[in-house]
Amino acid sequence: MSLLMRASEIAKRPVVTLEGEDVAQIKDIIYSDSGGQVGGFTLNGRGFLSGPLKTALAWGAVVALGPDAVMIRDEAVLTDRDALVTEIIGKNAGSGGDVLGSRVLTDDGKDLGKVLDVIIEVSDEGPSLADVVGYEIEPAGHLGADLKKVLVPLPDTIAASGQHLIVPAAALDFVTNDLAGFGAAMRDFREQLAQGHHEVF
Amino acid sequence: MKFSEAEGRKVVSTSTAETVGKVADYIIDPKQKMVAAIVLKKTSGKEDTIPWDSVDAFGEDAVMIKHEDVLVVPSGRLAELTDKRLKQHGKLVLSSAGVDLGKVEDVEFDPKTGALTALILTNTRIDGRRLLAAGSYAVIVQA
Repeated sequence: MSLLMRASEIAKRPVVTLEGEDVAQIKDIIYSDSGGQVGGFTLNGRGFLSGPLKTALAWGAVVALGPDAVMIRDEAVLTDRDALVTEIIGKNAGSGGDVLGSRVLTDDGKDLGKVLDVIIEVSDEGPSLADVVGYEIEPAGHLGADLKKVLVPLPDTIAASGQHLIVPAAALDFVTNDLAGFGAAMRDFREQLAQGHHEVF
Repeated sequence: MKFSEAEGRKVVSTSTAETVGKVADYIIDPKQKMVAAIVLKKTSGKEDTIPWDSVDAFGEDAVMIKHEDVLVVPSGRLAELTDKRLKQHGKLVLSSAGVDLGKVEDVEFDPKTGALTALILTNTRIDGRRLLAAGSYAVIVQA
């Protein structure tokens, strides 16, 4: 079973221990693997005017990423934020990660639009991973003037910088505008890629 | 029996045949999934808590104890558990998967053993065996 969620929905979610204490709330996602996976989260405090915490949460310490709370064993699993960010992003600073606002380009040179949000898939089978599987974009004109936002699926690897996101041209065929249909579209897209045929319409 | 049904029930000492107080609240032990103690109102002294082991019978009309002496002020483990009062109606219930299941409206327990048999939420009933913990933010149940 896996669940799709938007990165923007994860922000502000409470971080709750299995003892029922809310110890923080999610601030930002730290992406690893050139933006392909969620490596961890930075945190804000829970009080009304609380600011950023010096601690952070590594993905490996997350017991469950639910729609209403991010569950952890206890407060002791939180680690030093600066150390975690360095460990996750490492020497690849400048690549991947923060793609909000980047332009999405197909590998045959077509601009699909601007990245508004990141779509993350969380699986509860096997080793738990939070994979970046797509982006919600504000489409460039040609994609459909009546659509405000569309979802573009990702293959397993893509190239991303702070400026551009490069996706295979075939991704165009699988663009949808609802998260419910996106899951199927994404699987179809990846299956098609795996079978090695790219049909360009 | 439900917590709500027993609210206000008189607690009577079998040795003196006197009412020593009335049921007001409960302290639960989430790990044992049991009622740890009953908290009374209208007691004569400041001791207002009866550890479950001191309850001889939790009857339909009265709770029977041997003597007013068994009432204590919570200390040690009972004091630690004091903020596990589920009577805080409206306490949020979160599953271990991070899903909001609703709020606690009532609690069902076995009056013979003190075992918590179910949490009654607004729209659902959760088997007491799924109870994992009760914290200041939420009650946690097994997903």
